[in-house]
Amino acid sequence: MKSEAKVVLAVAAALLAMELVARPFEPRLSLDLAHIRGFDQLAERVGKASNGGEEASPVLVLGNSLARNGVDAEVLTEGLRDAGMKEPRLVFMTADSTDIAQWLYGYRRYLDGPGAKPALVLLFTARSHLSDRRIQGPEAMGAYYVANGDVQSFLREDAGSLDSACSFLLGRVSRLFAARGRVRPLLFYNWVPGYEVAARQINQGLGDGALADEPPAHGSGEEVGEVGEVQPGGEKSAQSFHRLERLIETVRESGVKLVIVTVPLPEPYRMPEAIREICRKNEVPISLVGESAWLPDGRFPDGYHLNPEGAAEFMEALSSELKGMLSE
Amino acid sequence: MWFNSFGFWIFLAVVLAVHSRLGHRNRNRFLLLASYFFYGCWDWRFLSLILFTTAFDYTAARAIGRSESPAVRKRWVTASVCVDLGILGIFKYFGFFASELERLWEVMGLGSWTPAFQIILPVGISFYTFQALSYTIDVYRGQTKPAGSFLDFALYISFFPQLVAGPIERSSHLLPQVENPRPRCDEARFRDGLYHVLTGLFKKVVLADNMAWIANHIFSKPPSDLAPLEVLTGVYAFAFQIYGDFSGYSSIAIGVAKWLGFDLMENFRQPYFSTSPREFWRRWHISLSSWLRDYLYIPLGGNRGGKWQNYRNLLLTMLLGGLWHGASWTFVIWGGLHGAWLAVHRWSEGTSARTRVRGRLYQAFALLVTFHLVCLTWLFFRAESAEQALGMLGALWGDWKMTDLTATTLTLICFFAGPWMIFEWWIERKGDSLALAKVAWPWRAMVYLYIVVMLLFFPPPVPSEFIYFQF
Repeated sequence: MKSEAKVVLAVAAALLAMELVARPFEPRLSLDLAHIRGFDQLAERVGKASNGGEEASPVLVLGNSLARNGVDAEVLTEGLRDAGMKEPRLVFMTADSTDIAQWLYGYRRYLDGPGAKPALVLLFTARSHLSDRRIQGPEAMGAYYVANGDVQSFLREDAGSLDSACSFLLGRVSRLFAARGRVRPLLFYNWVPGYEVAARQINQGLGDGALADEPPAHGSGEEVGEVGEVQPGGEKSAQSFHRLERLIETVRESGVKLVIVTVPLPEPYRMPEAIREICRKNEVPISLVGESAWLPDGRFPDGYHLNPEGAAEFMEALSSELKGMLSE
Repeated sequence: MWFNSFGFWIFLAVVLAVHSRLGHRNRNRFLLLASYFFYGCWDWRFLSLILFTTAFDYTAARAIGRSESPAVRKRWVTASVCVDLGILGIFKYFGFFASELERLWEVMGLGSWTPAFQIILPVGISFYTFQALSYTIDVYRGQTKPAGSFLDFALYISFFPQLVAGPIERSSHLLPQVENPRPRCDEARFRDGLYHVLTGLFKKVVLADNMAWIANHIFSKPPSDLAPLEVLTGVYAFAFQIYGDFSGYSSIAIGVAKWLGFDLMENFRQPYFSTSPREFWRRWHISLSSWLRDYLYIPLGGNRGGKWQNYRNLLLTMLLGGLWHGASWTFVIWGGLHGAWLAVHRWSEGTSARTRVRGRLYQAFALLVTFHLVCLTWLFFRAESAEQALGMLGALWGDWKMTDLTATTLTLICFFAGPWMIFEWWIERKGDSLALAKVAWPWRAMVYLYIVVMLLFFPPPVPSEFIYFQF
């Protein structure tokens, strides 16, 4: 065999071996990835709770790390019970750095099938997570979020560019490719001196959390673009909300109730009027409890996510609103 | 259509597949179409500009070639130079002169004045204009025959791998390859091309873009907010960014051209192993430095005449070389610094030739000094303004404490640039830029696997555009 063919084959064989090793090893790359890989089990739990004779009401907490840190499960469960829900059982789909794209396709892939329907979906979001922005991490969309039946619609409506579509398709066939963005943070946050501080400084300077080089574990990463509306490369995002409308339609068609909940941030913000209008039009309740910065100082230790005290206070405030919303 | 985008590689796969099935003439027609499509993806409107330059220089060169009269020949070459430089001047320097005029207007107290329109800079205009200029000048000098076919000449001007960021080819080198049947992509060509493409991608995606993440941050901060070591390591990061970015592009261009049967000229030869400014310019952006030497420095008188004339020629050449990069005072200062440094080096060569020690220690010292002086010039090249560059220089005098940013920058430079510099050191010792292509295949496979793994797992947090596309 000619030597260059040997070189190419050797590299391809090594990559194939790495791909085979990566599949079982993948969840160990980060807690977040382990959480994502657990979506199948999450759907099973929802199915068991709703159909398995447990007489429980599965409640899906949909969001990102803002929701994961901002939800006090105990207080929320109690609040839902007070609102008249029978045996509420929370399940979390709250992967890091996700927004409406991952929430829409993730819901459709894991929970839109027969037998895995939650009784209620609580969608936790801040101002910019619901707009139709450029897809962040198309390779992860391909590997973890988009169902086979949605591939065509994703490529047609959401991929956005040829490069994004290629990354999506590569992520679909290769876990090595899909999880590649996890290696750098895992290595650098643990081994490069001063990296956490330096990366935070640099990402703040970039002015968009979407560009963050995120830490490997839960709880300390910056989230997708809450800082501003400017996309990587400087383009202004179009303020459209088609994905939100599709999610509302998907959830409604499966007969599940959806409530949108705004999450508190250190600074007050206002949900765009278009979102309020979509909610009004589709009769989706929206809690604006997070819009105003009413929590006392010290509730955001990393400047972005709520601490446990803040989460409990947020849930108490939400619970009082949920009563009215769920009885409607 | 970036070289580091999937779109480009899909485009290239189609081009290679069709190209391999065609005969020579049809290959040229197809490559010309592909090149125009490639350029049109940036901005189709500027295709008309390339077509105009191509048509004008083709006509001028044919007129020069046909005429026996020195006056006619001179008139045509002058026209070609004026038209080419005129287009370049309008599109590249109009904004600069307009803003300078605006400032002057205000200083003179004549109120505010703003130009009525702004001009967009066409991608790669400096590169293809210099390539076109060299052709008509070479025909005038009798060093090249006028192209026999408009189509061949159009392909020479717009050949897509090197159209937007070089290497700036000479007609004596590239045009015969366009006009005559080219070798097919055999194993040796595939091997050499693969080497250039993979190393180019590594330099661009892994080295340059990861360094850009840091350098962009440091250069975006006010100098007063920077610690001395942050300035120093930020400039180091930029030095590796610009090297990886530009030489990476050149490598990919050379590799892709190899697969299409062309041999482009080498554009970089381990420049950070230089031990003097003269050596640096023989290793850095070789196609531009040799262009400036042949079409500017030597016509100005070169090193003929007195030493002061020689120093003036060096300074003028580098000043114009700086201005070639862009219409900004920082580029002019950058060029001026290199010119002055070359002149001082030329002077020192004349005075200390007999006493110079050429041991390894001296070489290492000279290498370090040269690298740091190059970095000093990069500071002006990268800064948004001369004030920022001077402010950053001033920030070097302070408390040399190790900050988190400094520690991170140094570690990342070692991680990304360290292995590449060791590899270059090995190439330097072998004295053969294709040394890796000549070792036993398992070694090559290991290096390629390393490159692929780095490309896979260490893409930059923020991808950057190719720096030289703006020139």
